[in-house]
Amino acid sequence: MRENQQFGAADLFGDKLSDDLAPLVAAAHELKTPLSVVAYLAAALRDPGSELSDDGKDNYLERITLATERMSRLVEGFTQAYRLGTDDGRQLSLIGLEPVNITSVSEEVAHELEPLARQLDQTITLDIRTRSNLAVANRQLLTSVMVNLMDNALKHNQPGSQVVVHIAQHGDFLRTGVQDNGVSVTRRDLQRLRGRFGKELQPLTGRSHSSGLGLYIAAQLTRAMGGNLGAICHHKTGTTFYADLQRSTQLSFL
Amino acid sequence: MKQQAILIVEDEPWLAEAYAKAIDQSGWHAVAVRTAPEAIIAVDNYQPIAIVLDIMLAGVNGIQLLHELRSYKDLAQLPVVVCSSLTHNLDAKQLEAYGVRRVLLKTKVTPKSLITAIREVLAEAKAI
Repeated sequence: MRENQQFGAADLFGDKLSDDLAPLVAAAHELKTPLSVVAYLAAALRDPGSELSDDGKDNYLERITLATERMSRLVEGFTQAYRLGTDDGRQLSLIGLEPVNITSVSEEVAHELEPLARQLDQTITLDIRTRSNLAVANRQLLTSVMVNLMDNALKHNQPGSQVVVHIAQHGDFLRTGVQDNGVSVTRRDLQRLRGRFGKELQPLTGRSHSSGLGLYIAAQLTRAMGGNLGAICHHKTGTTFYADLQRSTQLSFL
Repeated sequence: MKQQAILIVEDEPWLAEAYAKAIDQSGWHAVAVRTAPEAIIAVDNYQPIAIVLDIMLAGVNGIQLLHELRSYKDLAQLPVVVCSSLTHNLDAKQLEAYGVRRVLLKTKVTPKSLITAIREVLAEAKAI
């Protein structure tokens, strides 16, 4: 039986995560799909011949809202990540790191993305395998990391399936992995991801509508908190992208 | 009378569903699939009179699907409308050779422009 393949941040993104304007091109590309959804559904709502029922109109409006939120999250995350990657660490010294409850953040993000998951006929479940759930992190950045990882999984999952968030202790680190069952990312894809922001945009062959920008954002923000992003490619289907963050030894009083 | 099928190959589920709604309302029967292998099966099962095709698909992409379709004699004339956000990267001559008669920029597609494009390619195919 084949073993799962595991990759570290260096395999995914190399040492240089930002390179001139290439990430901007990737961001523009990544926005095109939700933008297409918004444009088409808005046109359908305006079209007097569309024969949409009231429920149908409500459904389109909810999807427009969710697609807009997705674009907004992407822009916000990209801005954060790009700033952190281009200022030679000045911003890094300003980031406040403290013990943050990873389970609590994951639950909040899963709750926030629940309407999106429902519209995509998916569910998000948490699989918590540790009592020690405090990581040295910045709550805002960690929330962005989790949003990007879960959103990425929802985007590539099949309808009727679930995204599973695994939280477990991994040596001195807490590992938060987000598993999807979409087309499995290959080592070649991951190598392409690594060079993706070099000269031109190279979308992942196995995963359409994805330049991997959400993963780039997650990697930058995780690194800013002293952690690492990695991936496990499951041998049948699906991929787990995970963030390893230093475990806090401070006791939780929450 | 059995409605004629239009095959949608699009892996963004909300767009596929919305395209299908407009196509159904225009008197055809929309069949939506997410991948190229599913499209090959759907072509056999539903014998569509036209295809609405995205290029960036998971796994086998739209160009590879077109290449496969053109290798079958009975499908060589099947009209195709491409809806893609990568229109500036596409080779128009290559697409034409594959039977693509309209290329729509995805971010600009509306129900009206989609249905107009399908009607036009069907009319052109009939005239040949």
